[in-house]
Amino acid sequence: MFLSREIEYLIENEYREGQALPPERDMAASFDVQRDTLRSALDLLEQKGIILKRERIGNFVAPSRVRFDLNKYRSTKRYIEGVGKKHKVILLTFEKISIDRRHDEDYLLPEGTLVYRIMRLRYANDIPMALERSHVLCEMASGLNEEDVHKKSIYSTLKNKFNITIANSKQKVTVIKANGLESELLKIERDEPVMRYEGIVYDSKGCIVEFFDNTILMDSVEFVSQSFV
Amino acid sequence: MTKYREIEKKILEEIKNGHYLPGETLESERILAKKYEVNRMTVKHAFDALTEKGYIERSHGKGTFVKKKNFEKLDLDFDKEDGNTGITALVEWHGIMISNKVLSKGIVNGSRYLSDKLRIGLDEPVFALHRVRYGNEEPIAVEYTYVPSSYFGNIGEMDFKNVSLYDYMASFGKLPKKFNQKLRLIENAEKEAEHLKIKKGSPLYYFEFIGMDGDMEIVEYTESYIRCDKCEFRFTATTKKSLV
Repeated sequence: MFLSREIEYLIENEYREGQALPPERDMAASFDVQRDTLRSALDLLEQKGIILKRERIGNFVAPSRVRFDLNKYRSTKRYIEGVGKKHKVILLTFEKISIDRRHDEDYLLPEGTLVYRIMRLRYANDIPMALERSHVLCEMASGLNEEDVHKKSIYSTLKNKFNITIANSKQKVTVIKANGLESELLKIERDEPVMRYEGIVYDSKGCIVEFFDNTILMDSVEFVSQSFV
Repeated sequence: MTKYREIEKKILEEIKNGHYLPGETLESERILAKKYEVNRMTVKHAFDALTEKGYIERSHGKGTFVKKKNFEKLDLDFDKEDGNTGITALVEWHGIMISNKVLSKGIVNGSRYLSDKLRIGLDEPVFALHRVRYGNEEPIAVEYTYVPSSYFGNIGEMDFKNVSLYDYMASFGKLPKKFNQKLRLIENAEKEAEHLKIKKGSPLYYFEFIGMDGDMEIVEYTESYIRCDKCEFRFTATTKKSLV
């Protein structure tokens, strides 16, 4: 357990993502432990998502996760680029619908509220990372169109075109099983566990601007935050 | 709103306000239909909707009862209005009994990783406390906590099965007040799976935090492996500056 932490320290300080670790024999020697001890420490790091093991090839530092900072509140594009990855987003559907509340129990909106439903697929380094479903209230952004959200941040459009300033959002992270559509788009097995990241976004007057629920690959993101008691 | 939505809402309110408790059996469709003065099919529809949303469960021959699972979920909020004092406070707040099993404890010396996290010298001793946390006697989290032992007098002798670590730290004026936190989802490790009684390879929350006291001294570093089926993470993100 402590050996794995020492290796983690080494990786954090001296290695970059994708880099190969020294052969296990050499690592065991430099930490002065048995090969078996080293292997179980590496297993732990693999499970924690710190390293990737490749059969007969070696051990590598895992790709870094996209880091969402809850105190900063930036566009997803900036977070992806923030860890040095190439960003891409594809608009899948854009439609105007009235919500039926079937799945919107927590969102405090009356049945029949009109929203723009925007479904997008987000990529990091050309690998699909998240299926994002955003619902923008029509009364807040009347006339929002496909062009506005195609390859653009929804929030920057809301600010620039509709003069809406986002003030805060309430968010929730849980784990669900990928459904057919999610598994197909994210290129994973059906029923594989994925992160469900949902939230309600408010403007500075406390009105709901948007609610979203995103399905994200478990190992692709992390959340960081600073909080005071 | 359609009639059955109205009934659905009424029943849901009764569940939320505690009129019906988790595990409790609801009245039959017939009785509820009479009570709300509606058609029995309307109650059936409302039951269907509540079943689909996971609030109630039906069992042939036994009736319809309030589903337990949803209500045993523990919220481990990042930023709650009344602050984040860790798992214990939150669980008490929800009226759920929390208990601990100490897996191991003791002094660790010379860990570069821990001294880096705690920002102390490599030669300073660290007190390690490894616990399984239970909510209503079900394992919920495995927690590895490290504190600089120089702040605390008799930490090695404390019985952390019965004494809250935070109560103990507070008695030395070293209660963490500010937290730097990190949340990830991971595939669980074998050892944690065993403690938590879940299948190996199933997902877990990995929640790591550094706690600082009022003087901004680091007093705690914790790694917590938390069951996804028992907890959910909620947080509020606030922006002071405008977006983009």
